[in-house]
Amino acid sequence: MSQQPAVGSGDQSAGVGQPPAGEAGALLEVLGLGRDFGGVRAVDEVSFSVARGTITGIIGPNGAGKSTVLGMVAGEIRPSRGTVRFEGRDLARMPPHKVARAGIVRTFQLASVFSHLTVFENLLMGAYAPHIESLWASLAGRRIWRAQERDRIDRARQILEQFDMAGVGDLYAEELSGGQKRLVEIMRALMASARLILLDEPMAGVNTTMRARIEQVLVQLRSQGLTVLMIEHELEVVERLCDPVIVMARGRLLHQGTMEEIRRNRDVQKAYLVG
Amino acid sequence: MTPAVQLYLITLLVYFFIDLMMCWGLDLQFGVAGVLNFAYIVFQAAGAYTTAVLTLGPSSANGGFQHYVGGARLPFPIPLLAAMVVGILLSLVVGFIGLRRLRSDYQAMVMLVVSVIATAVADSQLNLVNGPAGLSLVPKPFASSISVSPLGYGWLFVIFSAVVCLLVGWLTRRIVQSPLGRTLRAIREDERAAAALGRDVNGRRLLVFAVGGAVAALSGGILVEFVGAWAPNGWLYPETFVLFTAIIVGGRANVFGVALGALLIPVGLQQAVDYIPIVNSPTVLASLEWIITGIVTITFLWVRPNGLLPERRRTMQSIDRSARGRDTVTAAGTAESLGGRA
Repeated sequence: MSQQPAVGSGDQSAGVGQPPAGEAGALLEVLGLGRDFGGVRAVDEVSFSVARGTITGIIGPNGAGKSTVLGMVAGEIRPSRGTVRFEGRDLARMPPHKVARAGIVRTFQLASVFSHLTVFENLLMGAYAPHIESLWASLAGRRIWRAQERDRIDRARQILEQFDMAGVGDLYAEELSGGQKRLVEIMRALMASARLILLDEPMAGVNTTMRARIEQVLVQLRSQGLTVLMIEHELEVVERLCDPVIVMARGRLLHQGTMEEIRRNRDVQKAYLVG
Repeated sequence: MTPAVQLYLITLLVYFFIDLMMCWGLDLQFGVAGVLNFAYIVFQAAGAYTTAVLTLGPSSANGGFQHYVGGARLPFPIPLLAAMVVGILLSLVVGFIGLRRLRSDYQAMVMLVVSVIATAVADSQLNLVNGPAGLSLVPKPFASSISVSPLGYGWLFVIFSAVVCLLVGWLTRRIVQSPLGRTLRAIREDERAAAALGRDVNGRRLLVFAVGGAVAALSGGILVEFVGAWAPNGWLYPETFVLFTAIIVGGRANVFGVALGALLIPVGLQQAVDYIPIVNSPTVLASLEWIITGIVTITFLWVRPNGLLPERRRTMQSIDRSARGRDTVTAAGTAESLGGRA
């Protein structure tokens, strides 16, 4: 990024893996979360919290229930049990669009850009403005919606420039590389003024150069007070970025702590070795 | 111009404007929002029946040879407005059942089934809308109060249908170019991502379903007022596929592309087939129309899936211009370029 994203004025020099800046206290609290699919208990009694201004990682072998937990926090999957508290408000069983409006924006395992919309339009979609997206506003014409649209345009331009992506603003999102698509997802979340971003394997299918860039972006955003909860398989990336780290296996939470603590934990070692 | 040619042109033009309205309405659902509504013709039929029933008077009128529910003799344009209301209500019911909780391929199947059921009900229930014989002798608006020749009246009807059609096109374009249009296109591209950014996908789909349904019903109302009759064999489910072909050929989510498609397929192709000299049998001609329409659809999906006039790319400059007005953007651009030179 050429300049700081406009999400506060945190310390740019905050190093990778250093303690988070931002307000103290839990932004997200997950209590006794569970989900059954038929007779299978995919997630069982998972409880954890995510502090403001941190990058919290979720790791675990395949089938551990990581994406199901993320889906339940985002409102995509209805929990069978438990609560999801965000800024003190229970979001469990809310549909995904209401969870997003509450301030949680997620990305997906496969980059979910709007392929046949330009990068710039993808960013504009990040900001939700109900008044200007109504049928009546559309029929009434530009004079109703252009003031708010102008604000969105200015913000989108600013974010594009901050991410050095202004040159690709007019490309269709489908014309971007995998890593650039990941950046578009993150930029969209910034447009949405999200307070918590859920990332599902952000480094999957991304080349080394772009990985470094995404890492840099995430560190910078954390230093400015943004909170991230991310699933990642690359343990080196998790070690550099995340503190704390949550380990899951077979639908249960095994441990939550620093990578150092996790390495020493026997249950975690067993889960990774046995699967 | 002989009266026969004039009558031919009048019929062709009215049908073109009605088909164009239908295509724009369906394009909002399919081209812009990605909803595969294979029951679209049902909404036109609902509008046509509503208009006919509210124009014909009670069932006992005209010697009581037709049997239908809810007969009334309401003045123009109330039957057309009522048709639009019925189109919206029907859309909400069908949309509520068919659009929620289903993936788009299953939605398409539900719509196809709805279309088949609707035709079967209208055909088999003799007292609902007069069964397979359908409704006839539907009065034309102001036909008795305007003193013009039948051909003169026909041309007036062309102007009326053109005005309504252009109004529909203008409103459609407003929706497509607005932030709502962008949201609908985003839902078309990835509904999960749209929901994850705060968009109520079901609500938006239901909205566009209702708008498209109202347009289809209005077109049905105008058509029945023009031809004076409406029967189940005129709105079988394959009719919807002709409209889909028009949109695919012209270019979906492009108002002008869709207009081109409406000109080329429901009007142009069908007329061209009629002039094929080697076929004398009307049934063979009808079958040939379907075969050619199918081949054209498949060819375009393979060779030119975005149609003759593809969806326009919305550049940063065009979005900026749309929100700020041409003058402001030009001034900003000039200032920028001057600054750059300095």
